[in-house]
Amino acid sequence: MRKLALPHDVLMSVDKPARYLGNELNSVHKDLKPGMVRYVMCFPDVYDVGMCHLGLPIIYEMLNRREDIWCERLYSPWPDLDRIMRERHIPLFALESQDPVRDFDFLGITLQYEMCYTNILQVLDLAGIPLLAKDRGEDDPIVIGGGPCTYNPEPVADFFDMFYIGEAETNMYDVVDEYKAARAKGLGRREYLRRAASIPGIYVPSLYDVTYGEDGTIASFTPNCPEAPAKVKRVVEMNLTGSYYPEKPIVPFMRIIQDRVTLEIMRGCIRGCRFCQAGSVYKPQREKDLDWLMDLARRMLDETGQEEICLSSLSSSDYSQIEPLIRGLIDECNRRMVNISLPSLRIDEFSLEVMKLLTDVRSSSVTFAPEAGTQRLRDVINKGLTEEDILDGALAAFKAGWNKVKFYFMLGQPTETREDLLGLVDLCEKVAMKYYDEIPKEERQGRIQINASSSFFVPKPFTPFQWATMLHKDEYLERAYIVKDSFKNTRNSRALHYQYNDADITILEGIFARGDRRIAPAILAAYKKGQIYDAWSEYFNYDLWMETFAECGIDVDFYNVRARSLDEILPWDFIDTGVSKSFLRREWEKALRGEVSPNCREKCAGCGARVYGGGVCLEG
Amino acid sequence: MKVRFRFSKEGETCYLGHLDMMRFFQKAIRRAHIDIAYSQGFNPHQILSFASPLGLGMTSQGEYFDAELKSCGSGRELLEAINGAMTEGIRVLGVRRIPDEGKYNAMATLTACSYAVSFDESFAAEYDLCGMWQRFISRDSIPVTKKTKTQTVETDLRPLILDSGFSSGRLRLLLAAGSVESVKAVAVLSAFFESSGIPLSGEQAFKTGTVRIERLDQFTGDKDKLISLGEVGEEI
Ligand code: SF4
Repeated sequence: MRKLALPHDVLMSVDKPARYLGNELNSVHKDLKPGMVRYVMCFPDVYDVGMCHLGLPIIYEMLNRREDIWCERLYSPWPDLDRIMRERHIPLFALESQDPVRDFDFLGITLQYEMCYTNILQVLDLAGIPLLAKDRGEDDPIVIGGGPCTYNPEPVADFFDMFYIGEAETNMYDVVDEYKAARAKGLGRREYLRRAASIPGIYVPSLYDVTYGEDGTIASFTPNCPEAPAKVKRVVEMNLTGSYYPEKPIVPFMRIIQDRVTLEIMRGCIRGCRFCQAGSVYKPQREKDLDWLMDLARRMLDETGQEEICLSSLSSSDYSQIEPLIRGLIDECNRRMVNISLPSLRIDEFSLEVMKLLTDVRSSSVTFAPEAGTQRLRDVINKGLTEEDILDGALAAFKAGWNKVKFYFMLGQPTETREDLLGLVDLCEKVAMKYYDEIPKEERQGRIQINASSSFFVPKPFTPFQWATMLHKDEYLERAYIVKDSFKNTRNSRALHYQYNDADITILEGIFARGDRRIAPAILAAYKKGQIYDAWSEYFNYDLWMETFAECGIDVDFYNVRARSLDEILPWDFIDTGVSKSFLRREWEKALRGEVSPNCREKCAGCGARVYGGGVCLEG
Repeated sequence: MKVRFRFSKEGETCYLGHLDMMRFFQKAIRRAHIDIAYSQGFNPHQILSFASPLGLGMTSQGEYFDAELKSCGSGRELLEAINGAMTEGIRVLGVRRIPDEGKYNAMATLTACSYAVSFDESFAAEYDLCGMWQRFISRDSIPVTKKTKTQTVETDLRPLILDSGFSSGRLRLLLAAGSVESVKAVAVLSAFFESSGIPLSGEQAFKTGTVRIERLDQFTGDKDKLISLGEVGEEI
């Protein structure tokens, strides 16, 4: 029997000990050999959540293909174990080998959402690694960050030795090889970081100096050594077909949030929704070959025995081979008694036909994400979904037997007025009326049910809305109340349900999304007060955060509600995502004028991503 | 046809719960391409039923589930196929065809379970466990009080301990199980410790690793004529 890092009595006293065993089917176990590079990939949230994520397994697969690297996994210990580990001084360990994280060469941390920031510190602390990169020595692992939050890594820059900006497939091996070379030459940590800084996609925060002007905005942001480029280029894998993919995904023993195999069909998006960061920073849209996908699906199902497969992409309907792909999968999965899950499909004739095959019409619902209530505001955000699309889609769904509809909206987007808020309610009501007007009584499957939900908009770096101003917490809530009241007064109020997400988290996300290096001390201070698991409402503590910002001299309004001028140096301007700042500015100005832009297939809008030389930019 | 699988659960798989094991086998059956029957409806599921859940932290040599198969080759082929889809710590030890009628269901027919209890070395050195057990088990009755939310009930554990014995430092227990009358191994240990003046509950001793418990097998039939669940039915 393998040695476990946690003794029997600890495993017997924590909730779900299966989180900490690391012996799941298809997990990779190797014999340690001299010179082997040890890499641990961390998703800084609990196992149940982190195991659902696709990015980490791609890196796991890629690194473990090499014999001289052993990549293992790590998730945040749940607070029950966290407490025991501190009390009994049990060092944090990687799952597969159960060896202390501190013994590793690299600790990679994927940053999928801002609310995991205190969990980064939890992981470092439990591992016995100094929280600030500047305090680390030769024996500490190189702490490297990746994922969507690296498109503004500044609020957490002090905690990381380096960031990898872009897709791991391209240069991850170079990061390791440079390390091996540095080690062979007997070079130290600092020397390695300088060398790594010249690998495309690598950002080493300590090699850049930031100064601030009197008004608090950034005055200069400059490299302090020749190896560090003034602009860090996002690296992109242009040939996804045949590239690294977890063909033998790990099969968890315990129930996780989404226990299934994931088939990523493409990256990037042809649409230009102006609020959407993923749509911008993953450009251009790149599709995987149909036959390759079918083959991958078969292999993954064979290797895991999973009973569900899920298609993953930002907008599956835009995959050019979506029909043959889904028809092929239905054949394959019917034979195997496997379910297919199809999120992000646009409601149209085809999707309704397949949903009818795959789901129980009576208990499932059709989903629309208009994001805004009026056509005017949908034009501002460039969401190419019209009222007609929605009403037609809903009617087709009603005719096919559905009577449940879900709507997703965002409140607080630029230029939003009371009219837009009321328009949202109006739209839901029109859909309800459509049901009663067009579906004869005898064909109706009971009463219509409409569930609308809204979140508050948070402006993100590298979107046209990166210059947008946010609102105060009470202003957000006021808007939600307007919508709520208006829903109550509709004719169909019994059939219409509305709920909104909390505004507290919005304020925090706002500050983290567009913050600079001066935010880090507050994150550190909040952690020192015991704050972890902010993404979990039961652990999130708004008042503690506000108190901490005040103590650290941080003005929340400076980051959230201040109007930024177009020529201000933004904290993330040093990153070159391929999408040009002038394009973003053009889009921002068009948004304010209410003008729409075409999607990549209609007409290239000249965003700049063409420099990557592939994908949708070179289609046709 | 109904097929009963016997499996062992060793090492760190003792920390996997009952539901985890069910999910593990559902997926293993798919990986092994075993021709299992599915229920009807929009969410068809494999027709599988598991015998008595094993407590978290226990290992076992005698766990069972019954599966409805549409077809299968020889028992040997079936065994090889499913063992090809196992992971370290879990092994299928045998398969047998059992009668189709519901009354042979593994859970419903259970009457007894056997366990081996081993003791931490320093703990075993401190007490004359073997002698204490002899005195404990020679009593005519072992009354214990069970507290529920609303009342306290007195029961006698003695008739529920069907057989026992000490050998090479391990305590073997044969305990009544199933739906009529049953007792847990930790409850027996609690009573034993209490009557022997050892200041520890069975639960504590088990959770801290002072005792380790392994289930050896599960049985059906009358107390004087017990048959292992793995011996019911016929070879395939
Ligand atoms: S360059 Fe044109 S086609 Fe390519 S991603 Fe940008 S807008 Fe789309």
